[in-house]
Amino acid sequence: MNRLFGTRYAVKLDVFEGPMDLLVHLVIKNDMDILDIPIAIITEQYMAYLEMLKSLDIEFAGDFLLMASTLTHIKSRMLLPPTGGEEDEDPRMEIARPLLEYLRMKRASEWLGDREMLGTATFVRQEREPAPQPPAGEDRLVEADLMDLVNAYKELMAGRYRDHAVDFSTEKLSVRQRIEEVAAKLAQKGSVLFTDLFHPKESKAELVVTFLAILEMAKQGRLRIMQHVQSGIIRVFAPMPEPPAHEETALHAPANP
Amino acid sequence: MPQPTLKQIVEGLLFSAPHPLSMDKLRRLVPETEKERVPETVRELVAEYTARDGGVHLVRVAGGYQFRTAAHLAPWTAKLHQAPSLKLSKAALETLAVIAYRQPVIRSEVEYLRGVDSGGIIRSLLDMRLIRVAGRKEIPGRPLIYATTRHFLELFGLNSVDDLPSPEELGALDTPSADVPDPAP
Repeated sequence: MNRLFGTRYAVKLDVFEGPMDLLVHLVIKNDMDILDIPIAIITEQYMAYLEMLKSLDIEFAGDFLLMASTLTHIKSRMLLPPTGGEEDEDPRMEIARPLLEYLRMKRASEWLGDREMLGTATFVRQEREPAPQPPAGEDRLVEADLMDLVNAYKELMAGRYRDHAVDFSTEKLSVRQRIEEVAAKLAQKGSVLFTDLFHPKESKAELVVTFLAILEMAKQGRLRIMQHVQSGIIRVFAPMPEPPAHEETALHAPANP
Repeated sequence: MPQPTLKQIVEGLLFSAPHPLSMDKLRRLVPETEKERVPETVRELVAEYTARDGGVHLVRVAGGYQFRTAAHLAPWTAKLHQAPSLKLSKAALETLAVIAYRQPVIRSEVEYLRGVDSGGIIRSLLDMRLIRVAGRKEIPGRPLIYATTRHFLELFGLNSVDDLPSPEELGALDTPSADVPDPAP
């Protein structure tokens, strides 16, 4: 708001927040009763203050002028004889009511300012910082190697060895057929847990067929076998779609000069 | 392990909660059969902590209950909690008071009461989450309506806006506030 006037500076002093603040000050200084303000005196003092601000080149908001005109207006109405009509209320109420209300709000703000504020006077327990996240590398998938697969296979087999039921079914187990089943599952879901590819009720022979099917598909590139670094869980994914041919060029295209 | 008492459960819940817990919330957390005894148990705990007069108090705030450090420990507790404390200017407190008492309120009403432009202060109070926009008034221009927030209650340690002093309590006009600055340049 500071503006340069020729070689002099206009200074903005935040002495009073606004006209109400100034009026309250004058009322208190003169020990006036808000409901019976000697309007001539307060108007005179109010104007004198504005004149002083002007002479000091201190800028003040238009609100101050508005209040000045309100005060002068009240003062002039006080000079008129009462008409005996409805509007015969004390003209000073126009300023007394807002002043009373303003004083209340001022007190309320002081009351608020005196509160024992959270974070200043009083405190609550600080929340613990969240537990550190596992390093980014732990939460990713890597290609499962043959040893991982063999271990997973052994675990599956171990679960079935107790089963001494003899299978008399004549159904021919075909790796080729199992490949199509696995491929269909992957096409549908995108990825399947390694263990979910094996039915719990499956015989040992069926288990072997499924395992061979998975190995064969991996060899043909029809699925990818990935292992979660942290948990060691193996998951089988549908093959990645062929990368678009232009991707390479796009990545390496020189930036605009 | 012996069965915990309801008082132990409630105390543990209040101690570990980051925000004030309401009676409703507590009722939902305790064993079904003990639900009805929650209010009296909370009151017992409040009384115990008051009687003990220790470093923490169980206070009623923003519609719930919360453990807070005693205010006179601030010189020490503030050292631990290094967060910069919120310092509100006189003008900000005044604007906040007007909104707290007159809510739901529009900007022009605030400015009429304060006698000065308050747009900037209202914006910063919004930024501080002390007030919120509570809708638009269906008058020409559809001005925004403002109201105080739960955060305001928590910050000032109020249970609700009804905790603010009544106009009568504020209206003791024979003791005017003495902190008005002298206009002498």
